[in-house]
Amino acid sequence: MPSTETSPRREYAAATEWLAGRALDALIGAGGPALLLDTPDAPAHRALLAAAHVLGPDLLAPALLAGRPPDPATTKLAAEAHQVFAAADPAAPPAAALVRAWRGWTTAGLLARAGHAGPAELPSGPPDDPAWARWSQPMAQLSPLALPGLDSPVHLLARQRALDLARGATRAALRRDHRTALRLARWLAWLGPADCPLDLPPLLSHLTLTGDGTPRSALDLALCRALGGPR
Amino acid sequence: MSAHTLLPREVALPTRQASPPELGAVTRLIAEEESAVTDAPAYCPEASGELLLLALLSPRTPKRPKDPRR
Repeated sequence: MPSTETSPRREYAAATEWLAGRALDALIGAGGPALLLDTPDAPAHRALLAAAHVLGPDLLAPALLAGRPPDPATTKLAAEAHQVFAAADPAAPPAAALVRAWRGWTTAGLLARAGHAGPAELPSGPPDDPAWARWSQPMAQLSPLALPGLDSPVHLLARQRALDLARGATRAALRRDHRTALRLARWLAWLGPADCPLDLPPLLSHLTLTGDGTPRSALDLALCRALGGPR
Repeated sequence: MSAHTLLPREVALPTRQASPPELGAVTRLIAEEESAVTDAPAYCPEASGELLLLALLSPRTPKRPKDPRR
């Protein structure tokens, strides 16, 4: 019998992959610009809320990249997810709590733009470990912040430590940690070709061929390519 | 039916806040750790000695037994 601890995680992970697939469809225009959430294979509402909170800004990214307001159903889902899951996790380690705080703050900011919620309190500070290998890990976890039109101390640090991001992405690719490499590549794509110290297209081609093929990775990859285009 | 009777579809409960196990599950998905073990091949020069030793210690290829009539 599955334990109560592992069961929600598994369910939420599957729901996150499902929702990432819908966001990818909206990004590439496969099902129209709005997220198609009302389908027979949709996860349970509670899991969908958790997935929306995990994806956070990525859920609103297709609209953000298209330069239009997000559709009402997506905004409502993101707002409800933020309301239910934004509370601090008392058991989270400090580093994970900081990542959660930044992602929640960014989602709240995007929702405030859409007129759904007030902006949250700014987290204490960005991850600032001087060692690039350790620093690149929370930056990979914060990759949903790498979207156009967003700005924060995390973005400022990403601009200042572009070389460390490139080192982190290269290290992750060499370790075959494709998810981390892809997330760091998002930051490099966000920097733009002028400020990116790495030739990004070959890395993206490599990650396309060797990635895990999950909808979440496919969404990251599509966002990388969208960020690399004209902004 | 009295005026105070609620039909099931009219009952809209507020979504309850996430419980600690739910928050923990979401935290682990948001703050995914980098993979701890990879299967990337790594250059190990010291492994050549081990390979040589294994080649020397490995049993020889079986040969066809000699014909006893000869």
